[in-house]
Amino acid sequence: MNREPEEFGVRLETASAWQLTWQRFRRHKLAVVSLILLGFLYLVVLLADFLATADPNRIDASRAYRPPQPIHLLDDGGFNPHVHPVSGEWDHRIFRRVHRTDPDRRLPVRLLVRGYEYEFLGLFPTSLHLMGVEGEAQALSLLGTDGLGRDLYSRLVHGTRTSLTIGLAGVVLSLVLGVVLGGISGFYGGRVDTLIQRVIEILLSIPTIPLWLGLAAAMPRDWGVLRVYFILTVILSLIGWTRLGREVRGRFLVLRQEDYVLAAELMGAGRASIIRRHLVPAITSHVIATATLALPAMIIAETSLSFLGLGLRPPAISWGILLQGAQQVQVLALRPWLLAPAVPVVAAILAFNFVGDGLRDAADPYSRRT
Amino acid sequence: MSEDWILSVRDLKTHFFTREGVVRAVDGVGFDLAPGRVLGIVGESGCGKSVTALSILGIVDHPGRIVDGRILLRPAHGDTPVDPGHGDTPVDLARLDPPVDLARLDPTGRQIRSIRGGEIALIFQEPMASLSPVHTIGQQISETIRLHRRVGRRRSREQAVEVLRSVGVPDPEEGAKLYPFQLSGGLRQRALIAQALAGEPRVLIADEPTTALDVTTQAQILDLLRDLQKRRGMAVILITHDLGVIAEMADEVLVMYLGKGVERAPVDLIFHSPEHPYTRALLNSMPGLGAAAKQALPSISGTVPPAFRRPAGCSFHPRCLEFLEGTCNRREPEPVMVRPDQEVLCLRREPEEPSQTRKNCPKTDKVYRNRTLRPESGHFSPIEQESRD
Amino acid sequence: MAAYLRRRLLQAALTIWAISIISFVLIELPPGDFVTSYVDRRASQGIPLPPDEVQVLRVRYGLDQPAAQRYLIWMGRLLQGDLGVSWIRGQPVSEIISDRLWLTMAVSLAAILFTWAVALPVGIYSAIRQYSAGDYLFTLLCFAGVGVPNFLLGLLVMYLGFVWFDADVGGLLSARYVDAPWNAAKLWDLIQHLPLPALVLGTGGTAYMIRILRANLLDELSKPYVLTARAKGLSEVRLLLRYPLRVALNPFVSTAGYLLPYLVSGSIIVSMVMSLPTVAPVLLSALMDQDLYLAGTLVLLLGILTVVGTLISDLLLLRIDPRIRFRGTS
Repeated sequence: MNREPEEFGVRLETASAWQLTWQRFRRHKLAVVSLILLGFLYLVVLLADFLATADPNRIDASRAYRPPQPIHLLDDGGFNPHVHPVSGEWDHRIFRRVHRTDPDRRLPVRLLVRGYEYEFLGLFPTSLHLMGVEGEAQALSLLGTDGLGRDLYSRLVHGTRTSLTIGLAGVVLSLVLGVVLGGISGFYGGRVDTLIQRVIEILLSIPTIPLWLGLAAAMPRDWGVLRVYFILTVILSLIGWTRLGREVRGRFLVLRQEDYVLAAELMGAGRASIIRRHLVPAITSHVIATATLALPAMIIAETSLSFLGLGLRPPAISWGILLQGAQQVQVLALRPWLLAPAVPVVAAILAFNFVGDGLRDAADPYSRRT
Repeated sequence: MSEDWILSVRDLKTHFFTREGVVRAVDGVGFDLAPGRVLGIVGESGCGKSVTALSILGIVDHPGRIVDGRILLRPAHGDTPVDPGHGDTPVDLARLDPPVDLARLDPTGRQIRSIRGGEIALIFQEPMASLSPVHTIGQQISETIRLHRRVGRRRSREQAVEVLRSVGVPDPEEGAKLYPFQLSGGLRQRALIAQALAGEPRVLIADEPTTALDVTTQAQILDLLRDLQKRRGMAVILITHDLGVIAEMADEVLVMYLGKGVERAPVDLIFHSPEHPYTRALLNSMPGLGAAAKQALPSISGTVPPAFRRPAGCSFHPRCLEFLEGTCNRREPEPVMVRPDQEVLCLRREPEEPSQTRKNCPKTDKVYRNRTLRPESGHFSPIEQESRD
Repeated sequence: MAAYLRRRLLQAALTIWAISIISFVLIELPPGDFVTSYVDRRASQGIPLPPDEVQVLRVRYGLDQPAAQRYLIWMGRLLQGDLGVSWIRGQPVSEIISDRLWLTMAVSLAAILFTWAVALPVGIYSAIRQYSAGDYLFTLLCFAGVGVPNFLLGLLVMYLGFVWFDADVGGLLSARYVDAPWNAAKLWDLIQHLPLPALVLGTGGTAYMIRILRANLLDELSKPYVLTARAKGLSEVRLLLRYPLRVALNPFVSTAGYLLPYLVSGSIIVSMVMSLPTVAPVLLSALMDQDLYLAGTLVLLLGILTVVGTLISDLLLLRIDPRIRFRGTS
């Protein structure tokens, strides 16, 4: 008669908060796809040298502005990937270098070939690369070359490494600042809170780009790549922490009024233990979501600054630096492949946005964000 | 029950067409509302009380839709409102213009809009959420006045103050200038009632008007409603899950379960000789003064089943104490008149030989389909069952 | 309310003061000063400056005094309306930037107008026609708007303009108007040039605004007071305009405050890409040359611009939302 027990007959399983969050996240299809894409991008970060087909810094004037080179997969009916060799020649009539393909010669493209030397994951030296033309690495230019004849594909792979790690580093640094200051602000309240909030308000109302420009311009020209990289990270996170700080504070304020926190207080738990055992687990997922959503801004900032010549500087390679080559419309009109770095920029920004959205929805099942 | 209704709901069905399936929120509800009377609609949450109210005004939100039934409103006699002084004397409405079927009106059209707030007003249970947070009380009330009466801005503001005064808001001039969040819960509910009254409606639907309030305020608001209803001669539909409120306020009661009206009777009959097992169960679960202090309050076993898994047969049968295997879970019950003014939807109350009386009544026009009450013939028959049995 | 206003104005003043210090520090941060970089440049050109002349220069520009003193001198002059003289160009700062500052504001304003003109109707449409084909289309466009940084968009627009129309679509004025005095014809020329920069600059903010407005409106539309308003006989259009839109507009207006700093910031990069004669190129070169008066003044002015913009949007919000007006009174 009463069929309810059967309906609940499923064996009850307990799931941790993380499992639940993951289950909700998985429902967000776009976010899952984006997460896979990001995973792939960070794999590129790890294996940049292995994936590159040529030394990204090798200059060869005779190969300047070479167009992308298609790989032919079939040869005489069989599977035999190859490219045709290209030779550049200065054409005096049009004042530009012309690249001619020699359709009769074929250069075989192989997997796992020897190329330039590098340290694999910083562990051991090797010269093994995913693919290339055996013995003549420079012959292959998948995405064409830039004005100095450097291979754009290899540079893009290396630029991905720089741009994605600098964003991540910036976010981690802002995270530390934001969580510590926001947490203090939210948990202790009172005068400390007021002070920190005022500082955040002031920082938020400063136009970011002039500030970035000023700070970046203040970096001496003769600083090395690594130092600039580090300082730039600090500059980016100086602004980035404010939003995170606000988010953390808001969460803390809400949570502090939760009954279970009160219960813990009444049972005599110390502040540190309340923060550690109750507040931190409760805000972690939100903070991660906010941090993910902050990453695109970091990437855009780095790319923009480097694009203007104020961020990273050559010989560093980043998406922004690569796009510098596309700054002149006249140059771009003739060599549209120089715009290729825009693709990973847009893809990464969107992917971080989607993953962040998905995480936020998963962390807070009651929010009705669209 | 007589013919002097101003609002008559007949076999109303409002379904929600969601992606997961059709939710039959209201699935055959009917009642008559006489002028100056209070009809109480009672039932557990989720049984379609509120959707019934929204359906009457034609403001069911997407994906909900009225799929069947009629909502007949008898138009007011010209421009003269019901005489406030004689609310209890029944006005002979039967001779007036033909009724309007609200279910057939264009839900965004001018006609239904003039009825909303002007003829039938609605108040909700959460006064805070039901008032616009960005307008003052006065603005919201005078807006209603201007929507339904031809008065200027100034005049409407003065009238708004008057309405506020009539619902017992102290210092109504100042009150009109306040925003909802500046008022206490009780005052907010008064303001909401004032807004509903501003259009001088003939029917007031109060959807759980006291649920969100504390007990003292509840009593005050109920007193106010009763008082206003008497003074203005309004007909009131009072939706509640609280039988105490029903006992205090209602003249007639409709008990709802899973979108269906399961019992309909005057308030005395409901409390003293309830017929439907569900009504009985509801009454049993009510704390009474006579009950021993330590005795556990009986409750209805089980919960309202989920919207998509409606039980076959009588939808109450899984929880019913009078469940009869083979009948209750097979056949769907049809309304039965157990007393001249008491209608029950229960297979256990159906007479053994239903066809005998049925033959006596000739088929009439559609309006009376599915209704057991045949006023002119003076006796009552069970439902004309169409293709069943 | 008065207390709120007072607090808000004080905060704005404080922010501007903080920005002035930051801009000053920025200029002072790199090792060396204007004279050292000037000396370096002369030396690299093969005409080194004699040491006594260097000293004269230092005294003339007040560089022999301590930093705090220089800041005070700078601020003192600024408060008197004297923006100082660009060391490199030898021109008064006000002369260099006046036109450019107006053009910067014109571009930012055009971008705001574009943002509102597009985001408002599209956001409303997407909310009341949730999950319709149009809604999906706009959502897709929004994603694109969020994903493409504005300098890339600028690059793309320039590229397409060049390839399709064989024209340079950058700039804000036609060549014949660049040095012409301001008149109706020049203004009209400017207005004709504004849409593209406004589009490039405003797209990101527009996409963001649409998403906010849509989410807010959906939230508001499901609230009981909307049902109450419908129950009292309001027509659908008036219902939408009078109630939920007003509430949904709140965050809209409040984010508009942060929109301005964002736009002014963005306009700098877009200006570089689309070669707009705003303050951006001047700022960039001044920063590179450590031209204190010019760079510092520009950063400060941009800061003030955004602080004032935020202030205006906050006051607007105060006007729109009574809940803020009465905060603390109830």
